[in-house]
Amino acid sequence: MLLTDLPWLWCAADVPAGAPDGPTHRPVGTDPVALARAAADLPAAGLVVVVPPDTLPTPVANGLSVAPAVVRAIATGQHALLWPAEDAVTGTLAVDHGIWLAASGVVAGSAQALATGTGAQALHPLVPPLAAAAWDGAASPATAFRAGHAAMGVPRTPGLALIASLGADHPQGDWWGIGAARALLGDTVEAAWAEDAAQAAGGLPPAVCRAELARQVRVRTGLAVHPFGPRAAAAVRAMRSPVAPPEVWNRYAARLETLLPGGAAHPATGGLRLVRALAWGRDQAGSAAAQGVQNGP
Amino acid sequence: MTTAAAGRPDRLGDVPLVYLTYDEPWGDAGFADLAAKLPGAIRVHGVTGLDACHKAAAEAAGTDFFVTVDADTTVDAGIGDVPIPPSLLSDNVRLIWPVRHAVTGQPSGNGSVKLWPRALVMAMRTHEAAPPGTVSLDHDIGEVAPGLSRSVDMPAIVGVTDPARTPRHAFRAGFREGAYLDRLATQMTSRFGPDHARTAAVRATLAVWTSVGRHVPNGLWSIHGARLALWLARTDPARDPRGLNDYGGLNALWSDRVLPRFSPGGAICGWTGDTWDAAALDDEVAALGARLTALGVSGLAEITADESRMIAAAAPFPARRTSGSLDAVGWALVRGAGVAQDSTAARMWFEAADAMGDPAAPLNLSRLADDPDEARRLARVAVARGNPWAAAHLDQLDATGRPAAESSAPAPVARAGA
Repeated sequence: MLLTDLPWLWCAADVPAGAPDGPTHRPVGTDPVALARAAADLPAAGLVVVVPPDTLPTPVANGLSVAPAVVRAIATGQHALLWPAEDAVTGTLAVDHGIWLAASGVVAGSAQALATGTGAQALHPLVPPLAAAAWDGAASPATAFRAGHAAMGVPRTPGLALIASLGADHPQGDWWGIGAARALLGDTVEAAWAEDAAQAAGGLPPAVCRAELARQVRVRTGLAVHPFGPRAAAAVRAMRSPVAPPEVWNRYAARLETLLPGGAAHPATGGLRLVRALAWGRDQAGSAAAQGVQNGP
Repeated sequence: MTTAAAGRPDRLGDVPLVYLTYDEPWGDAGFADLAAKLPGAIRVHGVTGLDACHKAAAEAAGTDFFVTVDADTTVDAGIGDVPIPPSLLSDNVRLIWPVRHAVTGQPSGNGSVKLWPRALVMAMRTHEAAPPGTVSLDHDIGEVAPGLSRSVDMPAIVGVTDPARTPRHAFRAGFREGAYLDRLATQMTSRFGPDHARTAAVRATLAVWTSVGRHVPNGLWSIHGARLALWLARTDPARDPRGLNDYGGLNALWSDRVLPRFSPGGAICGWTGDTWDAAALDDEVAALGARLTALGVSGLAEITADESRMIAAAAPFPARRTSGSLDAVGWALVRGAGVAQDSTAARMWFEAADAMGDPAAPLNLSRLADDPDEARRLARVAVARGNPWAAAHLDQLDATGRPAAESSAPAPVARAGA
């Protein structure tokens, strides 16, 4: 089974040009009720692809498929699967946005989250380490601000400062960075947006606001956020690799081990850990299986 | 000829480890560190030529296999326990364990720890030993025994390489890598096109070398070297590319033309006593960047020391492996081409390539699948990814329920992603 064998439900008014050939495409708009109804029209255990708002599959989506054991786990509603998207603002991998594969019953029951782009928090999907879509949640200053704020809702890692410093090469990238900085300062979305939007209305350029907030982040949190200018942001975006970060490989391999026959000994999980180690080095805190990668090939 | 330990080595500590130094003032300290980690380590010093020094290492080791560590590299303490995959231990295969680059933060093949078969080293004719009229800028392992010999990257990062411990060495490292990657990018563009993953990976690596590093001592010298190499390649196209491996010529460039532009000054090298004006160097690097950009060079940027430090802390750059290179290892293992035949290990490499979206790997996995339905699914994935040979395989499966009969000749299908 390939994804292109399945029905696709689009949380959009129209199916965009360039959508994969083959599947039955159905645009349902961004109303969660419409998504729920469309999913309910399908057999409960049938699989369906959902494309959330602001998400555009790339040609990679034409070749997406998963092993039969994973398909069975998804069909029973035990798991959902999300192929991640490249974030249009930062160029990084957005592991909470992308293309969904789920049982239609799961989609119907989680339509609110899926149609509002928060499905990952609700469904804790399997996330393969392969980008298959582009996601641009920064169409306006307000949505960019919220997307930046939400993007910081992950454990603080050294990479977070870098991510919070990207984006100036996107039309709304400074607003994205303002939202990110506000999140790092612990400010709530709505109150911070009201304050920053008012300052912008008063003539404060977003880039200036972002620089000041980044300074506050450095002083108050110790997190070394240094927003890049547009040219440097674009350059750093181009320097990055399409290979997913190490934790994405780790998480997917660990979850596949629970689904595939043979678990950690299955070649597919071995292959995932092999790529992880080739690209990023060995996971020092990895499992015995991760160590075994070195002996495998 | 025997290995250091009885039988075939199964970890790096089982073979002699040779430390290669040339003119690095930290060489004695580096060797002391290495010898403390591996008491049997050998040092080969001062051999001119990148082909000759590896042959000298082979002679010094006196074994069928040996490991080299470059002068710039500090290996992890557990280097001796790093396992050697048995199916890839072969007279035809060089194994590479990358190291983290101290300036750019990238996993690096430069300075990597390498396991060499003596037979391969003695057979290769590269760099200064290349046949007359040929340009050999790397070890060209694949040319030693085409179809059989290869270099394979290993899944671990086993140390740190820091070639920027003096301004001269930093400049030389940046210049060499800039010149090499720039030429490679041009070749990749010509062969695969500008948007191919392999081309993009080389260009991205080059962009890092020409932009990242202001946060470490002498990092700016490395950036300057990389940018100057690009500048000379564009303004002096008749320049012999082999000059990037001519240490004498590079040292002369440094002492006659580069350092005098910035010396004397308030910055000083603790190893050599060289002094320079750091602000003048920064201005020159930026000016060179502007001139390169005006010439159409893309990807480089003026990244401040703070920004550069932030990038290094995030370590956002993986080793830039392409899926095709992983698939190729699987292909060699399936065929026993220069390595032991091992379909289990092959499948893991194919799975790895498949996870990266490779178009050839699913077809190779299809050929290995026992279940006809699974074989068909994998072949369809290969078709969907644009593998031009997958459709015929799928037709065969549809017609017979079995994969197409294996040919003894290498089929082009397996290398579609390469």
